[in-house]
Amino acid sequence: MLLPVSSDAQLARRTVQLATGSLARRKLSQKVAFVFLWLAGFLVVAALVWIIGYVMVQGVRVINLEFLTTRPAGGVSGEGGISTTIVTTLYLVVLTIVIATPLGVGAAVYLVEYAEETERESRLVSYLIAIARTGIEILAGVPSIIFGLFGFALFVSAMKLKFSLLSAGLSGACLILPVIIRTSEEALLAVPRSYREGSLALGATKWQTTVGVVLPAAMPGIITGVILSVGRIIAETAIFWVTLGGSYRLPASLLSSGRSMALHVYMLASETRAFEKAMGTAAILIMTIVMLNLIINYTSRRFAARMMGKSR
Amino acid sequence: MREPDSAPGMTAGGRQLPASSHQTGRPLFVTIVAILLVAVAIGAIVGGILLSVPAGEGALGSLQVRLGVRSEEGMQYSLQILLAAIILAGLSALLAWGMWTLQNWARTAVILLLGAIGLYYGLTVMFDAAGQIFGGEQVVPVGTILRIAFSGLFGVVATGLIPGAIIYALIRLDAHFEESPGQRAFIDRCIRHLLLATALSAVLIVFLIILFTLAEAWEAIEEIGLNTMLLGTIWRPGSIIGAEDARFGLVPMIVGSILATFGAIVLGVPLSIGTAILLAEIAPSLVREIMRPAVELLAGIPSVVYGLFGMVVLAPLIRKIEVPYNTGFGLLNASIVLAVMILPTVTNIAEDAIRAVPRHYKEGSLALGATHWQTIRDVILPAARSGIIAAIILGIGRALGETMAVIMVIGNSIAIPKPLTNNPLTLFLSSARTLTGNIAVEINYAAGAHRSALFFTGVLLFLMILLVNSLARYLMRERLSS
Amino acid sequence: MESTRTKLKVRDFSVFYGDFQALRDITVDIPAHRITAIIGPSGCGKSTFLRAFNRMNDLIPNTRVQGRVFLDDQDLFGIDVVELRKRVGMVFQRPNPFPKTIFDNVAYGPRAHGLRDRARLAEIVERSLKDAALWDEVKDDLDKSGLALSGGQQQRLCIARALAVEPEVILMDEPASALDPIATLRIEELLQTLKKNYTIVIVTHNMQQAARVSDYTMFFNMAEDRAGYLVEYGPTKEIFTRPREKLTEDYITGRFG
Repeated sequence: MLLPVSSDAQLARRTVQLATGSLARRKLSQKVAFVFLWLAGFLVVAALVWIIGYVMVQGVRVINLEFLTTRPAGGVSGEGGISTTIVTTLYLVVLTIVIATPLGVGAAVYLVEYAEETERESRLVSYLIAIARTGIEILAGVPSIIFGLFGFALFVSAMKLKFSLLSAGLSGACLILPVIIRTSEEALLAVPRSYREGSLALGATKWQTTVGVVLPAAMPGIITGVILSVGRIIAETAIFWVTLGGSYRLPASLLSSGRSMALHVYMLASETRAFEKAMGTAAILIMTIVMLNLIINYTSRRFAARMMGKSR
Repeated sequence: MREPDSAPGMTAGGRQLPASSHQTGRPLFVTIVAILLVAVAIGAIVGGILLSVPAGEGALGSLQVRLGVRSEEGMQYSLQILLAAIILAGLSALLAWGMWTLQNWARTAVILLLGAIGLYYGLTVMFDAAGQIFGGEQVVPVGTILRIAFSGLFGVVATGLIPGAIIYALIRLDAHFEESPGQRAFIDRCIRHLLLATALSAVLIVFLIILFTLAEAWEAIEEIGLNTMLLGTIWRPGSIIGAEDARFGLVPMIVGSILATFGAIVLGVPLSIGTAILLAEIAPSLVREIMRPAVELLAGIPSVVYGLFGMVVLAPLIRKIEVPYNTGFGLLNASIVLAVMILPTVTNIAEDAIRAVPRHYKEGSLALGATHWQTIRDVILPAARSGIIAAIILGIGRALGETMAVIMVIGNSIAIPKPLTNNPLTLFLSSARTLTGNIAVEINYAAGAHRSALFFTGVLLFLMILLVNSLARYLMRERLSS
Repeated sequence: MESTRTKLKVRDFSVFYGDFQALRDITVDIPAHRITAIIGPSGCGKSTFLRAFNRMNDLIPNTRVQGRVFLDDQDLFGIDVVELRKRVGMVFQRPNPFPKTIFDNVAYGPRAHGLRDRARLAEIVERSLKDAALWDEVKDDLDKSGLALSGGQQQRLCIARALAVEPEVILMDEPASALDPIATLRIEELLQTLKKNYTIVIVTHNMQQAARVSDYTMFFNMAEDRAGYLVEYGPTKEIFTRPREKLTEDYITGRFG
């Protein structure tokens, strides 16, 4: 019975089949089915509310100025605050964004603006481009623990960077690269052709057109991608567990170890009994993510509005 | 300059924007910068010489000793110092000449260089200030925080002021610099190649990942053997009990991963598909405005938060089930947590698939008198079938790859999971370990063959997920084409 | 009639998209400082012909040309294309101002060509907006977004933008077809002023507009194999009152197209 419908005749036949049977019976089974569907939706929202609610309620109790500005004491006591973890997380975010954004946006610019014409010129280049696209898709599906292993093998061991901000930052950049490429590509594709044509007709070169007209128009979309990546880095644990180390001290340079907030939650929960502090850290994480989500909603709406504004 | 009214014999042209639209004449500022660069060049040479030639016992001599370039055996690093000095002097001289002749590339280079230097110093000051404010064991009084912040800010501004001012002046003066069309074409070509390189960076990374993880895993493949790892049922790494009796069978972990994923799918997919149908077909827009952001929010929550919730809330709840050896940690806990985590992925893609079903299918069915639910069940869902399957497969991939949340709730025992009583369902109350968990839990202290085996686990995981994702992508592409 | 110089010479010019021939063997002389209109039924290659003059067809993959085109005795396809587009400007059918301020829109062209002196840019912007009959309406609002203007104003902004680069030839692809009648009229008046200093080639669907506005008219038609070809060319008055070809007469009297 569950065969894909592939033609209008089949559709008509099928629907005549279903339309037999008393209307009352069919309406009853619809009611039952809808109850289950609404139940599913309700459960999903309930799960969210339960989880976030519980963590926030338990966690907010622990948050005060001391919690935020002293560092973790380390060891099994779970004493101390989370100041160094906040700063380390900030460092990590900035580092990964700084590394991944130029690479990602550059790749997207090439794939959208330059690939077509270069493909025509040379077969080698069109192979390379196809390989590049496949590579990006594959990279997008790799789980974070594998990035962690990779970072461990390459940055921590082979390049001897040891557990450090730099190793973690480079690994994190690999993680978010596909996200940035994808969102930047979408943003660039959404810029209407007429802008590019208008610019070229004025005697600007392709690069001038890209930098002067296309990129500024695509900027809100690109920024949305960057903010998404920020959220991802803040939430990530597995990859930093293996490349950042876990030192509770504040990193003094790019080569020092450290601990991100998410990592701190894990370490508190698994190595100490300080569940309330873990909840507190988790609460801060949730608040940050919610705020980022709101910002993303705002910028993507502005992006859509801008695009709507120009196409008449 | 417009063209004059037609007069025979007059040639066209008359470019109003002269080929060199730059102003002539070298501004004083540029001359100063050029002279400074020459001074840097000279200074480099002099400094190089001073630091590589032994200087006797005077002040210079002791300076040399303090800098470590001079010891009992004589001058150290003379060659490197001289080389560095020559390169530095050469670059400075080149830039000076470029500035003197008003070349655009020289201006760009100076701006970038100064920018880099300013940035470096700014960062150092920032790291220092942060260290003082946040690194301590006790709360730093607000007064001190402000003082440090201000002095830090002051430091950043001070070190940034001079380079910043120079950069600003150079930017304002850009009308004076010129760039020939040949140079512009060259830069265009360079940019094109540079951008191609960035596009290939993703491929490079994939390649490196495969290369490095395989390389690390090779030792295990050789020493322990694929058969033992893939078929062995005991995992007892040598690092713990001595290398003699070490076993590296991955079957318990494979079983653990499969069971946990299975549980996640059983619990999560019905919820996801139901929600997807709700969002796409049934829910009024008000409800949708709440539900969709809720699902998106679920996607952004850190996995450790889910793990924490599982530890603190779910475990005691599960423990209430009266079964011996039920700790509350195990496959059930992990399945619930994973189910919630894959909800956003599966819901999203399933909803897209449902929305993509052409409207005329739905309208045709309704027009023939079928109820909404009948239409959904017998027309829309079948039409969206491949997309929904793709969604489920991607959910499987996500569940397989999840690490931290899982290790917090699954118990991590290294035995093959078995039912706790005669009731086979209690299998899910048993503790287990997944492939991902295996890596995360042991990587930090593993060495030698053990570590290599963990890398092999990573390779295995990578291949499994690659397969799963490719399958999903294939299905989604098939749907698009039909 | 005073003797006029030829600005653009076209000789046996054909355009192919892949294997499909869009234009066949066009030969014509386009005079300087005059308005030349191109009319004809849909799909007969008028836009393709127009876009050949600033080589916008190059952007379409698999395009091939045959024959020669000369801009003031220089081979169009031998000049650097970026330089060409400084000399031959274009105004599109749908107004396409950039999402920038009015000032930045008009200054975009000169800036792209290397001019950075703010004073000179301001001069150029003012002059161009005046020449496009838009200055009085926007002079106090140069920082407003170009997208905030009405359709007619946007099109005049695009004209100002094209003028700022000071081209020799201005190509217009049905510039008023997306505008209301009043805005259309203003553009037509503008064209009469502009032709004093520029050579204008305009594609239009609207025959009355061609008759009102142009000095010379080219009539294109589509052959059976869907290639476009030039049926007749001459002073507008003659084309519309005493056409030489029957096809032209049929088109003008509305018997087809």
